[in-house]
Amino acid sequence: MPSNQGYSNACIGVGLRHAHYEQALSQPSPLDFVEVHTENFFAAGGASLAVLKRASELYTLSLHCTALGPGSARPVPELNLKRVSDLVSRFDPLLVSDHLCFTWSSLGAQPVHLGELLPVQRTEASLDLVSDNVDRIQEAIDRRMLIENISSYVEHSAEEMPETEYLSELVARTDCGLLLDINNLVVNAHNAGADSPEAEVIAWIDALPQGAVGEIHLAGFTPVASDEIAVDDHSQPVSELTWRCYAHAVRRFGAVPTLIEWDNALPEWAVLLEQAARARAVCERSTGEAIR
Amino acid sequence: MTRVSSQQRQALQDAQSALVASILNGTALTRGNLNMNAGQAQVYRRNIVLMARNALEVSFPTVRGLLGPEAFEQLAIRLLDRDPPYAGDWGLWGRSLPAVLCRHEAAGRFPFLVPAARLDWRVHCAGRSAATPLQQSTLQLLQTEDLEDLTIDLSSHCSLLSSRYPLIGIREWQHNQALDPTSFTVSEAPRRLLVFRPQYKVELRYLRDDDYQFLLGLKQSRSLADLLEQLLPDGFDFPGWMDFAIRNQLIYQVRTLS
Repeated sequence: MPSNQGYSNACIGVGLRHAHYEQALSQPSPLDFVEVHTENFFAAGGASLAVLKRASELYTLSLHCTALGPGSARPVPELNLKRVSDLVSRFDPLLVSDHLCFTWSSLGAQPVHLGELLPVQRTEASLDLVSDNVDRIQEAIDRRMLIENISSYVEHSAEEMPETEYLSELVARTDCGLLLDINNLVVNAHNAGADSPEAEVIAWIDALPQGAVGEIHLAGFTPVASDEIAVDDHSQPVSELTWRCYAHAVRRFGAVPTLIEWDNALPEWAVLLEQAARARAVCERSTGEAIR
Repeated sequence: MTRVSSQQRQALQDAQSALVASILNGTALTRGNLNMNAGQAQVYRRNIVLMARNALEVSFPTVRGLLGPEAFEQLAIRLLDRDPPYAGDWGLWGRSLPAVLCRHEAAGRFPFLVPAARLDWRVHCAGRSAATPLQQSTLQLLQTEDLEDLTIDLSSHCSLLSSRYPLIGIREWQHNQALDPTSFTVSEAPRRLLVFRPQYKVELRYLRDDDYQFLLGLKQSRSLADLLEQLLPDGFDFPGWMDFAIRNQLIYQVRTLS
């Protein structure tokens, strides 16, 4: 059993990326879990699986999928599903998650998987499709999965179902959980030209059912001018706005596992640990306030 | 029991394909409930290009070093437009990059660009391949069966390359770029190269001609008797080869030819 349990009542993790393998895996850091991108460990052999094994000896793991695309109308290939389920069986992660997006598609007769998290149209038919796909994935991995809200760069029409209603219905139909990515909400609020992004994000959070959220992701993005498109590039520290929304979220949902995500312009491992320590402090303070 | 009908699934699939096509072209799309302007399509396309470039940097480090960051990103875009990924694993994408490089403008300055790219890809694949440990018990067949009926299956990470360029030196150049890469010159005879992975790290080794012929024969499932008859008269050291092969996990199994 990894020895990183029990630093506090909060459950705080960091995304483990290649640049930090040496520092993170030489000795355990004060984290409750680390999260890896499942597809980075799909290789049949070689060093990557040895890295994951080492990580599992030091930390509790969370497997975050970025390629299953539960919103895909083109079915997820059995082989990819099997690769995920094999990793789940082997490493028994704390959490397994993917995104409310589609990834599998086609150009003419040619299958395509662009590796990007592409938005689903929030209609009844697509909700049926996503529900079927989530059922299939959960059956394959033999456990509950979490579905994450994405940052989206398209305009959804007013006729579509609100995202929170769509996700809530998905939870009700499939018994999946939700991975609440607060940075994605901030990015979307910016790109929608919201007068008060904070109010918009908090209203979004409040529209989710209590008990549905199984994890929270925190990240930062490169700031842009108000008339430019913000991109969820995970290249910055968590913003003050996101910290405030996080405090609100844990008051509402409790001390759910929380992850610091940083994927580009990676800083030193110590910087990620500082962000994790801040998340722990915010979580403890906010849940304490909620209990009182 | 599925909730979505096949007609609904097809309609959603068509809409998703239209979105993918617009993103790859970087053009606006209005379809059903969905609106994406050109700027938004470009955001997606830019993200995809960055992921594609990052993936190819891992699998083609020599090509990346030779071309430099900007030309390499342009190369990633060319490959993306020609052969979009389809496997849901960036590590499996890039097999056709050497073919794209055949017509690349830098191939004139670096005539070894294509063979260097082929070596990069072989190393990448060897690093990901499943471990195929020696099936120790099958070695007994060498004592009990006629060599005419036996061959050796090599481990899946083993592959052979042949080039008139010094590919190992070219691949090592990325770690010490003091040397002018245009100084790598072609040799009279092709040099034979083995790519293999004894443990986690992929290794490269130039081969003598008889070692190369032996390994090539095994890849073609020729019998041991046939290969030894061809190579022993020229001094091929079969016991020495077996020792090297077992120490470096080149052998998966000895098997009878059916």
